Amino acid sequence: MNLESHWLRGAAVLAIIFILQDAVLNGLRIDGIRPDLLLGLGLVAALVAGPELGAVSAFIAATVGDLLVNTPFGLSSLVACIVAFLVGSIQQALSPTQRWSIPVLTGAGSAVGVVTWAALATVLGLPGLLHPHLALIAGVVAVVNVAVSLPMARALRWAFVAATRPTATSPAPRGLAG
Amino acid sequence: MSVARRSTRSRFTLVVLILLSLTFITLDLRGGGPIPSLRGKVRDAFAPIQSAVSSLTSPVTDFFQGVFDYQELRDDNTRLRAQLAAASAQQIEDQYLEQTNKDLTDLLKLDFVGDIPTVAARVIAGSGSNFQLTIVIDRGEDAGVLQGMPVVAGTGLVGRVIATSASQSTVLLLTDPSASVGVQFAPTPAIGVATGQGTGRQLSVTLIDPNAPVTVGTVAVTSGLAGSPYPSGIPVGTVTSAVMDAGVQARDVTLAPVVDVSRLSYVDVLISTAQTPSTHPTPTTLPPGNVSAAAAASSPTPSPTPSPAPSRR
Repeated sequence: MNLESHWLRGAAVLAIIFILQDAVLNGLRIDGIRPDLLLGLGLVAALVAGPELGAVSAFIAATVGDLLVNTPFGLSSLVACIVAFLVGSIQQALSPTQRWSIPVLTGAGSAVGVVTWAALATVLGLPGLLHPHLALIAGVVAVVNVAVSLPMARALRWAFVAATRPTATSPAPRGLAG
Repeated sequence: MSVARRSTRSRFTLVVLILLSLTFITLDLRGGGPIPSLRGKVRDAFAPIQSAVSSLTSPVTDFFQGVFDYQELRDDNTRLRAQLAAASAQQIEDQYLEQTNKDLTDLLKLDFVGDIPTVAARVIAGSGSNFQLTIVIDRGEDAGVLQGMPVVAGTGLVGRVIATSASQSTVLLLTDPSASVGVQFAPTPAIGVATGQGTGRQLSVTLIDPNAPVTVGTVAVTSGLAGSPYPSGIPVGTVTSAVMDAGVQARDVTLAPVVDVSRLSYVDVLISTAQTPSTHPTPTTLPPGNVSAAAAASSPTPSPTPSPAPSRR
């Protein structure tokens, strides 16, 4: 297997999640709240492939997502890469890796990401974001991301871990957590 | 040693990503950079895929949406049955009110939509963000739609265009917390500024004169004061409460929007020349008791560059 294919596989997973997010989930709202799979993608990538690759994945996913909305461009990527790095670091500190850690850290990271985004957007001048409804938004986004975290982890392992597993003829690339 | 080096490199990567993000934010907030046009091109490029996938998955999406909204749909059904019964009984009164409304409109010389060219558009997507209440419509610059143009539906105001691409536009709904519109409580001369409060919540109104004769049931229409992007006389909402807050000598007035912005299928864009250069709604601060502020609150930011004249379609 070509070791460089992890980027192609990662791009394929991102494209599928992006289409799911924009073309399918945009019309599927829970109490008016839209799930945020792109945030979940970055978090799960950090849990599966380590904080560095997770932060990069979260950054790319959020930047792509920001292209289709009119909120400040770059704000989602800023929040996503930081939160992904944090949850990836926590995951690495949990030794050995716990079975429950992926859903739990994905849910917690999602909620933290949503609230952090609203806080930073408020600092940037967007009004009316810090209100009680924010807790509901964070809750819905977190619950949906928890629900999809395990299948998403499977897809991202296929992309980032399986593709970089060393073979007899080729060493694993540096910096990719396994 | 290897772990420490990897950790240092990870932190370095994170710092680079943070700096990149901050650069994007700065470029976008300054405006006029490549980001708005990039967003427009991505929207145009993605539109066919979005449309195709939406068509394929809409039966499943609609099913699950129906499950999530079951209670709301049931409540709607009950409410609509009651309204239908009431409407039958009030048909005669409605005819009288229609004539009265026409007379009052003529009296106030309201500029209603009838004189303004419009572009009909289909709503193709909701907001891509949980923090901005917008819709995406299938008409853009090619159809003469420009930033700042008001958008209406059958019964009243929906919002205004905040971003355009060649084939699509994004409309900021009047329920968004950053949206505000100058309103008049016809037939009285009372005016104020209505501001969105978020999904499913009513509009909050700041009255210019707290003692103005505003009562529950009064219909608020756009005031159309000088500088406002909205023509006068477009229905905005119906007053649902008007309570005097004795402590601060102000009235808490709330409006129920006349248009259910959560269930829009088709809208009309009013081809007016008012435009705004920013894709982000700017926060509004309103000094109380100032009539010009009502116009300013609903005015677009002046464009630094002349924009092309809209074409009539």
